[in-house]
Amino acid sequence: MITTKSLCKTVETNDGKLELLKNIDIEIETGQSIAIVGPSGSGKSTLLGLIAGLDMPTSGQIYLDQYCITSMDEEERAKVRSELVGFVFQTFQLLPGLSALENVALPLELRGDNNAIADAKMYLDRVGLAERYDHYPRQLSGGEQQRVALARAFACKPSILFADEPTGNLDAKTGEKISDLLFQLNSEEGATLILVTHEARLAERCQRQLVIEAGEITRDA
Amino acid sequence: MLELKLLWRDWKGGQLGLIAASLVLAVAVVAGVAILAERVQSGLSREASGFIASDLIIHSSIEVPQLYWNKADELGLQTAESTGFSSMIFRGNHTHLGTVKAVGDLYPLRGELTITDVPFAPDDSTWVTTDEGPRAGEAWVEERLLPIMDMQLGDSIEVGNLALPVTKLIISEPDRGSGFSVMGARVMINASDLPATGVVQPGSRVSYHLLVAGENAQVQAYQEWLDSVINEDYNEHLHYHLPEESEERLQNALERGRSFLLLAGTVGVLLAAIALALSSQRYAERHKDSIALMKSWGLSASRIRSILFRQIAILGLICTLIGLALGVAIHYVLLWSIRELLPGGLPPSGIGPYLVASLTGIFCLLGFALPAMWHLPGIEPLRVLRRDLPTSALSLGKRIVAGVAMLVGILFFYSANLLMTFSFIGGAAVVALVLGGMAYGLMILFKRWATRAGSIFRLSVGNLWRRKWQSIVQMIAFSFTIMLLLVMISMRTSLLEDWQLQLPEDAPNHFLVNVAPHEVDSVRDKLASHQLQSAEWYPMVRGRLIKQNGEMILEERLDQADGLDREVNLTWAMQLPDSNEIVAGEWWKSPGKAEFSMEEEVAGELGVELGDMFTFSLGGIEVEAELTSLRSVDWDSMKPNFFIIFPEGVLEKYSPNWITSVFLEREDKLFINDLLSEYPTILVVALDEIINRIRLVIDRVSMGLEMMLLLVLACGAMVLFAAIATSFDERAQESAILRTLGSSRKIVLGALLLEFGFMGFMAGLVGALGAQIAVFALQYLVFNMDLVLYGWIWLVGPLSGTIIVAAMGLIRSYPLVTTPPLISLRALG
Repeated sequence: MITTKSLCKTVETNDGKLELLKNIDIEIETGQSIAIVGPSGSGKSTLLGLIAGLDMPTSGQIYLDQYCITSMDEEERAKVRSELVGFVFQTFQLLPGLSALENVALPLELRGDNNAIADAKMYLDRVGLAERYDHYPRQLSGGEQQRVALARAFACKPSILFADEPTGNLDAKTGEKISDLLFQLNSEEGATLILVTHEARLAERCQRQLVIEAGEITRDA
Repeated sequence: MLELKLLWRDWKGGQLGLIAASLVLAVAVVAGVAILAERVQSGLSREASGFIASDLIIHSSIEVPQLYWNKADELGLQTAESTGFSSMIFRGNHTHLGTVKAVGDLYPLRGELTITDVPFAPDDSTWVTTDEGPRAGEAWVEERLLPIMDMQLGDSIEVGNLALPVTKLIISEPDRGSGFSVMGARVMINASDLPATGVVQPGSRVSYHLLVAGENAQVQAYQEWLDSVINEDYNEHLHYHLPEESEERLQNALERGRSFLLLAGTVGVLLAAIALALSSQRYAERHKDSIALMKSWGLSASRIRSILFRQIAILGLICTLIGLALGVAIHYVLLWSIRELLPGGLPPSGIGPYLVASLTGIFCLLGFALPAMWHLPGIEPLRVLRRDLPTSALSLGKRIVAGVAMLVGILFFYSANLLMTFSFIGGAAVVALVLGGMAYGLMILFKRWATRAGSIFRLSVGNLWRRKWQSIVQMIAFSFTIMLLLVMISMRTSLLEDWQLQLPEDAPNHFLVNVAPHEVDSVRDKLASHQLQSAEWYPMVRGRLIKQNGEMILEERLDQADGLDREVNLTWAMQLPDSNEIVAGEWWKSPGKAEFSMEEEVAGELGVELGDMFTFSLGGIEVEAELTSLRSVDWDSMKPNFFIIFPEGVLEKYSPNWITSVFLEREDKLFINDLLSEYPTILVVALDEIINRIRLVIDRVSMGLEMMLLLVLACGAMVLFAAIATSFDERAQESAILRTLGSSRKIVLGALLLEFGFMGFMAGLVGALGAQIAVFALQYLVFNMDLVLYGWIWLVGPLSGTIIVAAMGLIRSYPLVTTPPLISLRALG
């Protein structure tokens, strides 16, 4: 369960204070898939970052399961993230110096997983990249890179998966395939999926859609 | 181990190459120089030991007490005796006041004698070296004694009551010295024959010597013991000295060579440290995203810090080990290049150089790599969503302070020379400030001109302005590199020129002494007839300084003035000698009046004032004169030099004899035979062998300097490469975008060429300024040389900076215009 209460985020700019989010109240059930949609600059990624514990709100509270992450320091939030959270990014965020296998295995190795390589191979097989273990990101297409990113995210068995514009850098056909893979894996793994996108078709695949405009929720369906 | 795995992956990904190379080179340079310096120092000390035929020599005017022999035995040192005195040598009607040396069986402990059976041979093909002296029952003599005594090899001479056959001729003995205390021809006999001569009697003026040799630690222990036991009672009879004190020219050569090696190593370390700082910064830049990613996965800042530190530690350890191995290899290459000059090899180094090199690696990491990466654990995880998020890196000020502090630490730890340390820091500070200001000003100027200029110029100026702080940092790095390289080249040139001036190839190597006044013209003609050019001729009268302003000068005061505490050679001249310079007063205030000029150092030791009246005793006759000038004297000029000079008209009536110096090639040695046969009362003091030995040592050191210069040049190239690499990613992206938008290769390359050319020119110009300042400081404070302005620095600096930086920049950047833009952009993420 994810809950936000009166969540606000304000930043200082050259022109004075800018309210990025205003009194956001959300409840997300465990295992639910929710799309956060809205125009560019509406506060979608800001909201994602706050819920994921990557940033702190100006005011308000955020609960991830039993954890009130807004009352935690960064070290404590990091611990929560390591237990609960996985990410998929628009720019894939693969480490260029590591092969596909090494990219997937890295977060597992950082946790001290002794089976990191075996698990990484399994997830790469699941995303259809069994032949590409030793290939580097520069040798992979955009779609293939995102598949590696998906494998990496799911290999950590997150309770909550955050995806920030996962098909934003891909063409429509590839994006469709990635979307299929994302929802397939998510249904198999049973994670709560929070997806930021501006693509209507992707948003419609989620159980719920949250529309944000100018920092406020305008629709929740 | 996770850190090792991450390090290996970074290495495979090309992230660590420059950092590792910088660190390896820093350690290798220090190790190579330190090992080489220690081995050469030991070897040259061993060579220098030859100058006193031992590692330590005790001189005494009484027999060296048994206590000193016993202590040497106790410490496991080798010992040998040597007794020196002047004595008449007889052969039939011929006599000569010879300089006799009676040596023990183990003499010489260091170095070798060169002997021959062929007198005045035109070359050295008949020479033989030996590490033994004459046996009992024989005498070895200097070849010049043969014509004096009208004898041949095998004939006998009488030393006191003992007749000894002359079995060998001495060409050189290791501890001959270059002073005038050994004017009589050398006669060397075995110490066991000395009692039979009956020459040494109570009251005889004899020099007793105890020669000592052994391992460094043993000799040092003996020296420390000597310092504790040589007390007031013994002081006037007994003193000791070490090899490097024996020959001032050699001491200077060794000291300067050592200083230069140190300088070379220091410069190499500085360059490697700069490269490390630059490459660490690039590493940190490239890892911001991965750190943010790891934090998003739940890695805490403390965990990341721990991983980073362990990685740095492992990298440091591996690079140090490789650096040490490379340093050993470097020093072997250097040794190989000068192998012909080191036929006897060199003693091995101790563990010191390895420790110094290892610590240098640690200091470099702490001072240059760590500050660049310090902020990484604090990278915000939000960066995974917002890459434009600013990072709070350690402020430039703090990083500069850390870097400078570590630099001072490294420099001082390595050189143990505060002057050298601060000369560099001072020069570097000047470079950074001046360059920063000039570069910023020029960029503003160019930006204004750029609006009216062509596209290539506009693009390059735009690039520079957009990255102005990064460009200034790069220019400072280039500038330091050029400055340090110019310093190295200048100092090497300076040292070599200085040595060459001191000991030119045709420096006079023989002194003709005790030439009677009526013989001067004919000897001069004889020299001319053999195409031999002598230095100036000077008359000499022996005299002793006794009074100042009518008061007797106390003996204690005269003892302070080394050179005036005994009878000295007085001379006269109307022209100031070449190797002298007036430092106070006037050269011959009133010619014809009784006045004189004194050498400045003894004047300072005695405590005199211009205008003081001094009285000299010339064989009992008192001569009074006014001190009217003080002179500095170049005692290394190999020409006759004097503490006291009078004008004409004061000393002529006191039966002078004359002195000059002349350069003789080996093949002209027979001339001496000829000269002495005709003028048997002339004394010929041969310094050719000792000069040759000093020159050989200087040659060895010079070769080492050349090799070190090459090594430092390699370090410099690496810095330039690292500096160019710092902005490579940004340039790659810009280039890819420009080409995607349709810019031609010519425009992109042209802009890069102008950009690097400008940076190189600026760096070269300011580098030349910094180099000249540093060279002045080093010449004056460290190497005790005259200040020399090197005009070529101002041409070579900017020119080489422009060409080299532009060329390296182009070479490094060329792939940017040949790689398809899409691939570049993908690779950059």
